[in-house]
Amino acid sequence: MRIARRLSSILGAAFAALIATSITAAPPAAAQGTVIWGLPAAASVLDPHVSCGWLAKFINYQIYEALVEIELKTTEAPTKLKGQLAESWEISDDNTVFTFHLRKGVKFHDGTPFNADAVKFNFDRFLDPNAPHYNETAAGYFGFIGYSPTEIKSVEAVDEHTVRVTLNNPNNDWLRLGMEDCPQMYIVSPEAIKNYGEELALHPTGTGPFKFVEREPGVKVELVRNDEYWGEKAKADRIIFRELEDPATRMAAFRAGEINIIQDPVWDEIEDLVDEGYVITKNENAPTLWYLSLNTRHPALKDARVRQAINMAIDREGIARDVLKGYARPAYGMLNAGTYAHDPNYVSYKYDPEGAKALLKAAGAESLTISFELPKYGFGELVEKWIQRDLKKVGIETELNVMEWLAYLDKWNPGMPDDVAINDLIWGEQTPQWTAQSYRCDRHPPNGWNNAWFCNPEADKLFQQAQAAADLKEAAKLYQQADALIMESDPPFAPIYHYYNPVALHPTVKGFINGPANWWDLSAVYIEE
Amino acid sequence: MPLFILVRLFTVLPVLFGVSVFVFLLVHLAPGDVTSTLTGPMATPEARDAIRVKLGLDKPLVVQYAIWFGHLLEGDFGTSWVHRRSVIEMVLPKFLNTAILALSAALFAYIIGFLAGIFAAARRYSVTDRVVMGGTLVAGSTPLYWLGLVLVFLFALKWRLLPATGMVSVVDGGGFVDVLRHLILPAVTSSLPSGAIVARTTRATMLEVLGQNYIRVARAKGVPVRTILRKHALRNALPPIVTVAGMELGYLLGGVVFVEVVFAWPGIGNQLYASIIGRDIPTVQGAVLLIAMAFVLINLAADVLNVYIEPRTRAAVTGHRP
Repeated sequence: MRIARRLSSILGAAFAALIATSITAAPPAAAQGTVIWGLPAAASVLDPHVSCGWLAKFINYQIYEALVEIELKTTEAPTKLKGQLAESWEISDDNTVFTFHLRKGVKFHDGTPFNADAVKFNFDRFLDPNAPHYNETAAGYFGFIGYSPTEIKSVEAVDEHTVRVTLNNPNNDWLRLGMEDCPQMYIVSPEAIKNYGEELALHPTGTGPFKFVEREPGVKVELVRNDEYWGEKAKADRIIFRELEDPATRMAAFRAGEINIIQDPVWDEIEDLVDEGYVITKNENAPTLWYLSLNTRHPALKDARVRQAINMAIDREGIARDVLKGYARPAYGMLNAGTYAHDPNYVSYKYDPEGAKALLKAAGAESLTISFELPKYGFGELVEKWIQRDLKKVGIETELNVMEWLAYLDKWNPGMPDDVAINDLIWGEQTPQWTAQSYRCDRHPPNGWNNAWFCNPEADKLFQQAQAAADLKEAAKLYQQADALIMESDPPFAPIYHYYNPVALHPTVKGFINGPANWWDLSAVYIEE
Repeated sequence: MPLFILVRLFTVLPVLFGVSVFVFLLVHLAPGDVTSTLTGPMATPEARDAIRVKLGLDKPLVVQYAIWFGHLLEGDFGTSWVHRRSVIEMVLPKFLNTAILALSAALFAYIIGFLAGIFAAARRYSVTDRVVMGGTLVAGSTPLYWLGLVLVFLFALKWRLLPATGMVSVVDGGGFVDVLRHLILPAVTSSLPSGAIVARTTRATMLEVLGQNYIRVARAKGVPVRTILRKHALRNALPPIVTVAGMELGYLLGGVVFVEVVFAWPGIGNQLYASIIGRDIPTVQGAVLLIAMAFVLINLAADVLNVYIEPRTRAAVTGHRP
C-alpha cells in the first residue's frame, strides 16, 4: 500500500503544480498588431496558379497582387476594378486587346524587380508548353476560365513597363475571370518559380502588403507586414490564419480570445455573440449563391414540370429567416449578387406548394422518391433537411446522401448519373460569365461543369452575345434574358439563397471591411488594445 | 534476454509488412479518382492522365507497392499531394506532438486507474468499491468529444484558467509552461477511458491474486493486509496490468483523434483526419504506418517488461531458475 500512497502523493503534487502554473501563468497577451483569423477549413496550396478555393485565394490576396484587382475596401457592388501592378490599362473597343501600363519601382518579396518580362513569364507558366517552367496543372486550371491558348492569341512584353494581351474572341469581362479563386491570376516572382518549381507553394513570393513567414499544415499560416510595399503599408504587424475545421472548436477559440476574427460563425450562435459584445459584419452584396442542380437526365426530372414544381415547393423565405437567421435572402435566379447583371427584384418561382402539387399531378409524378447528393459544409446540412421536408409536403421523398467535400467533387465534376436527381453547391463570382461558362451546351462534362446536363441553344446564343457586348449594361440585359429563359421554361436549377458572408470580430478589431467577395482585404485591419 | 528481444523483433517484422500492405491497399481501393486532388476540379482529362503517369499510378498495383515499399525502406514516405512537402517532415513532428499528449494522458490514466483499482480491490464488494467501479463505467463510456467541450467551457471560457485550443500560444508561444498549460485539458480528457480500463483490469487481477491459496496462508499467519497487498499480491498482479497499459498507450497514440480535433492539438490524429478528408494518400499512408509501428513497438516493450516483472517467464526466457 506504500506504493499506492507514494503514487497518490506524487499525483497530488503533480496536479497541484499543474493547477498552480495554470493560475499563476496568465494567458499570454496578443502582441500589438497581430490579427488572428480563424479559417473554417484548411486552405489549398499557396501557389496561386494551381490553387483553387476561397480560403487559399483569401490568403494569397494578402501576399500576391494581380495587374488589376477588385476593390475590396468598400462594401458596395457591382465591384469596381483597381490597378494593382498595372497603374492603368486600356481595352480595345472590340474587347480583344488589353494593354497594361505597369507600376514602376515595384519589387517582389525576394527583392527581384517586377516588370513586363515577369508578367509574360507568369502567363507562359500555363500558356506555353515549351517553356521550361510550364505547369500542366496550372494549364488545366486556367483553361477552364478562358486563359488558354484557344482564347488568348498572344501575350507580349511591349517594353519594360507595358504588356499587351490579345484575345481570339471578344470578351468584355476577361479581366474579372482572372480575379476569381480557381485559379488566381496573380503575378509570382519568376525567380521563385525558377528556384522552387512545384514547391513554390512552400515559398509564396509576391509583391503584396504582407510577406509569407511560415505554414504549419493544419495549424496556421503566418504573414508579416511588407515594410517595402510600394503602396500604403498594412496596419497590422502580422496576420495569422488558424485552420480550425471543427465549428465548436472555432467558436471556443474565438470566445477564449485565441483568435480575433472568424468567418462563418455558427448561425445559431450569432445572436448570442452579439449579446456577448462581439461585432458581426455582413455584406448583402456578397457574390455567394447557394443552389440546387436538377438533373435533366433523371427519369422523373426529365419532365420540366417536375423541376418547376421543385422550385415552387421550397420555402426560401423560411430558410433565410429560420436557418440562416437573416444572414441570407431568398434567391430566385442564377445571377448572383455583387455583379452588374444581378436583378434583386427578379422572382422566377414564388413559394407555392399547392401549385407544385398540381404540376406534379399533371406530370404524373405525384409520389416520387429521388436521390439528393450533398457535401459536408460543417453546418449539419440544415438547409438540405429543410428542403427535404418541403419536398415531402408536395409528395417528393428525397434520400440525402452526404459526402466529404473531395469525394463530393469527384461525383459532381463528371456530371450527375441518371439515378441522381439533385445536388447542391455554393458558388457565385464577380462576373455573370461563370453561368455562361458553366451551363452552355458545350460545357457538358468532361468539358465543363454543366453537371445537370442542361442545353438550350437559344440561351447559348444570348450568353455569346452577352460576352461579346461592347457595353456592360447591354451585357447585363442579355444575361438577365438568358437567366429568365432558363429558369422559366426548363429550369435545371433551384437557386435557394444569396449568402451575406457573416464575419464575427472581437471589439478590439478595427479597420475591417466586409467587402463584396468571398475573401477580404486585411491590409487596413489592426488590433486596438 | 537480448536473444528474446531479437526473436520478438523478428516476429514484429511480418506484422509491420502486413500493415504496410494493408495501408497501401486500403487507400488505393478507396473510391474516387485520386488525380482530381492533384490536378484540381477543372483539370482536363489529358492533364489527369499526365499526372497519373508521372506518379506511376498507371502501373500494376504490385509494381506500385514495390516502388513505394522500396522508398519506405530508404525512409522516404513520399511527398504530400496536398501540401507538396515531404511526408516524413510533416508527419514526424505531428507524431511527436501526439506522443506528448498520449504519454501525458497515459501517465495520468495509469496513476488514477492503478490507484483506483487497488483501492477497489482492497475493499471488494463494499460501497466504496461499487462507487469506484461505477465511476470507471461512467468515465469509460463518456463521449470524449462532449467531455472535451464541457471542459473547454468550464476551464477556458467560464473560469479562464486554461487555453481552449492549440499546443502553444499562437503569438509568442512556446516553452515548457506554455505547452503544459495547453496540455492539461486534452490530456485529462483523453485519459479517461484508458484510466477506466486500467482501473478495472487492476481490480480484477488483484481480486484473482487475492483469492489464491498463498494469500490465504499469509492471512492465516496474521500478515498485515498492507504487507500482503504490497509484497505478495501486487507484483503477481502486475503482468496483465502492464500488458493492458501498453495496449492503452498504443490506442491513445492512434485514438486521440477526437480530442485533437476538439482542442485543435496539432497531432497526427488531426493530420490524419485532414489528410483522409483531403484524399492526401501519401500522408495517410505515412501517418497510419507511424501509428502502427508505434503500436507494435509499444506492445513489444510491454512484453519485454512483463518478462522482467514475471519471474516464471523470465526463467523460461533466460533459462535461469528464479
